[in-house]
Parts: sequence; C-alpha cells; structure tokens
Amino acid sequence: MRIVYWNVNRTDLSSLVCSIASATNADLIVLNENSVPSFITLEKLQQEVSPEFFVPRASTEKRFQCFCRHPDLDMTEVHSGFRISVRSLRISGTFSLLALVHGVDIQNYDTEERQSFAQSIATELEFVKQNWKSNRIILMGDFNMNPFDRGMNLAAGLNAMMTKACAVAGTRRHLDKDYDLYYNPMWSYLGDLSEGPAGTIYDTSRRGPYGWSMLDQAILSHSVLSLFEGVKILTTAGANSLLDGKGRPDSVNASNHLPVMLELRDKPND
Amino acid sequence: MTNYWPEGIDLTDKQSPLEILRDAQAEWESSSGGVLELILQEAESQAGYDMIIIHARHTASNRTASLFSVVSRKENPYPTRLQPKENELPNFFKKSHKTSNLNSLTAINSVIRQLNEEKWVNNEWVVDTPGELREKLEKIFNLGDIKSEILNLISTDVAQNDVDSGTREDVKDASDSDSPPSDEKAELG
Repeated sequence: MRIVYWNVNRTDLSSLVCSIASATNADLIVLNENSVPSFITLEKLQQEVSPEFFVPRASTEKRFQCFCRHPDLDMTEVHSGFRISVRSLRISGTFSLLALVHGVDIQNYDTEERQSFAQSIATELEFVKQNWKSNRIILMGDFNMNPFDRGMNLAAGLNAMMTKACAVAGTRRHLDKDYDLYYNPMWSYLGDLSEGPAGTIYDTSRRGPYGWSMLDQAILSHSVLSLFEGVKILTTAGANSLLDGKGRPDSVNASNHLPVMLELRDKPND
Repeated sequence: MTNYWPEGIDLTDKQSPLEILRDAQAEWESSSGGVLELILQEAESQAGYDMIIIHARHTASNRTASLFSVVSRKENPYPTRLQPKENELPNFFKKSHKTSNLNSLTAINSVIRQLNEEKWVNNEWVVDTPGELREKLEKIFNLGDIKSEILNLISTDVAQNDVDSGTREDVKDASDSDSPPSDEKAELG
C-alpha cells in the first residue's frame, strides 16, 4: 500500500494532488496545511481519480486532511493529541497505528523547544500504545526537524535510527527504562549521493542552515519493519514537475515542501 | 483587627494536584454514566518537572483525546501550572478571538515602544493553592476547545461502531496479537 504525505503550504494544489493520486495509485493521501476544505478536495479526487475516495472522520481535520481509497484501511482517528492525530490503520486486516505529526515550526520555536515537542509526542504515543496494547506504529508528517536533530533520535524522544539494522534490536535502554526503537529511512536521502533531491524543503535563511532539510519524514517502529517496502521523495505530480529550474521545490506553482510517499507491503517480509 | 494569616491557606486542605485530578476523574465517571473516562498519565517534562497529562477516553470505542496537562516541581506540588491544549480551531469557529487593526507601520512603532517598557505578565493558568487549582480546573474543563474535543469523541460514536464491527471480531480471537484489544484497558491512572 502507498501513503502520500504532503505539506501543501496553504495553497490550493488540488489538481496536483489528483495527479499524484493517479500517478502513484496512492491508497491514502494526507495533506497538511491545506487551505482548501476537505470536501472540495474529496470531490475532485472522486471525480478525477476514483469515486472510492472518502474522508475518515476525525476532530483534527484542520491540521491533517486524510483521503482514503479503501474503507478496509479504516483510518479512524483513535487519538487526537497535541499536533498529532493517531489513526487506526489496517494493512491486510492487521491492526497498526498511523500517527500524523506536525511539529512546531522552526521560525517561532528554537531547537530546545522542538526537542521538547518531540519528547511530548513520545509521551503521548506511550499513552496510545498502552491504550491500544500495540507498538505497531508508523509516524508520518512534517516534523520540523531533520533526521539528525536530537528530538528525532533521543531515547526519550522519537528514538529513530539511521538504518533498519539499528532498529532491529527492538528497544534501547536508557536510565533503567526501555524505549522502542524506530527506523528512519529518510537518512538515506540526505545529500548529493542519494537518488532524488537532498531533502524535502530548501531554505538558506536562518531557518535552513543546511540549504536542504528533511523536515517531512516517515519513521517506523521496529515492530512494523517487516512491512517496509520503501520511501520516496516525490518530485513530480503526473506530468507536472514539483521542482523549479534549479531543482528545488517549486514554491510558486506547487509547495515549498516536497511530498513523501511511503510504501508498505501487504504481508510482512520474513 | 490584624490578619496575618495568608489568604487562601487552609490547613485542612492539603490535596495534591494528583489527588484533585482523581476527584475530577471520579466525577467524570459518575456524571457521564461511564460513557467517558478521564485518564491521568504521569510523565516528566523535558525540564524535569512532574507532569500529569489529562486525556479523555470514550469507553465504548476506546478512542482518546488529550485535553491539557498539569506541571509542577518535583516534591513541590504548588505552584502548579495548567497547560491547555493549543487551540486548533480556525477563528470563525471561535466564540471570541483577538484581532488587531494596526497597520504595519503602527505595528512596528508599537513593538519598539513595547521593547522600551517593562511589563508584568500574568499567567492565568498558574495556581498556588488546592482551592485555586479546583477553580481553574473547572474553568479549563469549560473551555470551548475542551468541550469540542469531548463532544467529538461522543458524536463519532455511531460511525465508529460501524467501522468497529471488524474490530469486535478480532477481539474475540485473543490469540491474534495483531488485533487491537479494544475492550481491554491499559492500566493508566
């Protein structure tokens, strides 16, 4: 199955969203910072891509708009939190949790505050995991942090490691407490020596000291690693490029963020 | 007649924030007839303070929403700070919101003037005594955002039951560890 996440930067990109949905055959589309009411985007998706699309009910629709193609996936909101929305995601009938995240922004929150946010997400997820007795969690969103930022990899933060092998151990012990490990495949796309763009957003102002940043990410708990097929930073929406002439996100005709697509297997790969 | 006794201090009222929140929990249980449950998650803030996160749970569907948190220093229950959830509603859904008619030039002037002024900042969510905490708790539970979260948990009940029909089947099969045990509750506060 394919999940596309895109921060559309408060711009009406419905046509591009439809093109992405068609071209990728996405099962699930999550839009962040969408200024267009969800029913309008839904109508367009139903008319131009597939009449099967629907919007699962949730109270956090202003922050995350979800468009789902198959009712079997469920996507009901099981927890509405502080800038996160956790959905029940059924992959081939197997229950998992998909946490949609929108981190506090870099312009108004310093590194420590963003790290603190990551820890507060981890605390909320701990609650959700206990409530649903499951640690099969996938997180997707605009974290407003890079994979190497402390909040992303602190044990008490999101504990997301660079390689799959690092996460296979399951947990990491820190100050007498075990923390679930996550795999962050976005590490593989940083810099020039990877396929595609070097990040999901390009900024050289005070907010972007590295030029490219990988703020939009998908991370997977060790317990769903076997479902991981791949992740891609999308640079096209059908025939339309999402990049400008310099190969950076085209913030004039599209968004300043590039979409991320996560591919999951229907059956675990043992 | 002098009065040297600190106002608001009642030696018979020594309830900690956690004890007061447990009272709120019991009241929710009875007032909602068991439909909604208040869950207290004890945690630690990044700065090392004691934190209690307050969640609401819809008992039938097991769905939850974070409402607010209460933070205090370790071993020092007061002062305590209540932290309401960030308001995520667009302005047109809010009963009232702040707006400014300043144009950019007067806004810049206003900022420069403010930089030269010392200002007292009142934090309406900091409380010093158990009595004050109870008062503010009543207030926070009556915030529009909190009420909306609670109503949203309840109002999606019918849709949730439809979607859940598959879940219930899963629960019957306890051997299937991949299924959400939605009628088992974790042991939280």
